[in-house]
Amino acid sequence: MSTATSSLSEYREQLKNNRLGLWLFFVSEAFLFTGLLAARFYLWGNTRPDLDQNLGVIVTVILLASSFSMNRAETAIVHNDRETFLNSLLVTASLGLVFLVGVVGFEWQGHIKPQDGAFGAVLYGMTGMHALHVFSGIVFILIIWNNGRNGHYSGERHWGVEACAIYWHYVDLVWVFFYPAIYLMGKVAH
Amino acid sequence: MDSTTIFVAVVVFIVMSIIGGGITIAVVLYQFNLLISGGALVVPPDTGPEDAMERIAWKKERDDKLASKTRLSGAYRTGVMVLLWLALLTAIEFVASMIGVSTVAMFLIAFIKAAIILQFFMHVSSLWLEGESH
Repeated sequence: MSTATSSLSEYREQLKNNRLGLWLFFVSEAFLFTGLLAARFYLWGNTRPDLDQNLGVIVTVILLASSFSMNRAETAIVHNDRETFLNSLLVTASLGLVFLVGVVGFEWQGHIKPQDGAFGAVLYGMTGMHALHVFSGIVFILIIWNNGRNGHYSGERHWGVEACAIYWHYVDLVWVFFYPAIYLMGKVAH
Repeated sequence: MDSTTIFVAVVVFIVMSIIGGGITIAVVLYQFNLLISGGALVVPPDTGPEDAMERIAWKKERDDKLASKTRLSGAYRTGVMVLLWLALLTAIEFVASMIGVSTVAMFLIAFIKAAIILQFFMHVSSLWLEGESH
């Protein structure tokens, strides 16, 4: 077996362990987010605060679109299409930033404040924890983009990109449950 | 017709228009692209080198490139389809909340969206693969 083949097989073995580790991290994160969801149903019951529905659906669509561009970036590096990879990463980070502005810059400036009882506590707890993950995801993407610009990844070796992409999709996955729980489920409490 | 029915009809119309419009634009762009780069009038057929051995290597390289290009465009297409499905389910979720669908049904839609993301974006099945790249 040549050195290159041996090195590649070692890398693949390591990749398997890396993936398992990342998914275990997601399981631990799932406990955190499920706890927040449980708090929402315990404290809000079948009601919800009167939030801007348009804003909710817009930020949701933006996050979904960012997941698409992240998937495009990952697909591009798998096929050694570096230009699409780098551009798609920038698009993803920009969409993530727009999502953050939508939640922190607009939703948090609404009529509900953190001190407004159960509605305020849960709303800010859920959106705040999620926004923190979006922010860390953007930082992660920018690091990957910088590494990619310096030629650190190839079609065969791109674990960093894969981890970043899966992390970003996980953030999207959490919002898939948070969006209906915050904006859509239950009757508006007056 | 009450206002809810009208609202639902308008939302469905808008969603269908967006999807229909997107498909139309995609088809037009695809045909335009074929016209420019795929036609024999614009790109002369490349016959490759004269030497037999060189020609075999050239053909292999050309076929590999073509296969890679096909795989890449297939993967991009899958991404677009996933995005369209997620957008459609989000629209259904939005309309369902307007007409007062139960929490269980809303969760069901969320679980379908989550399953799509897990399978097509997060490649959860790669956990069972032998270190293969997806």
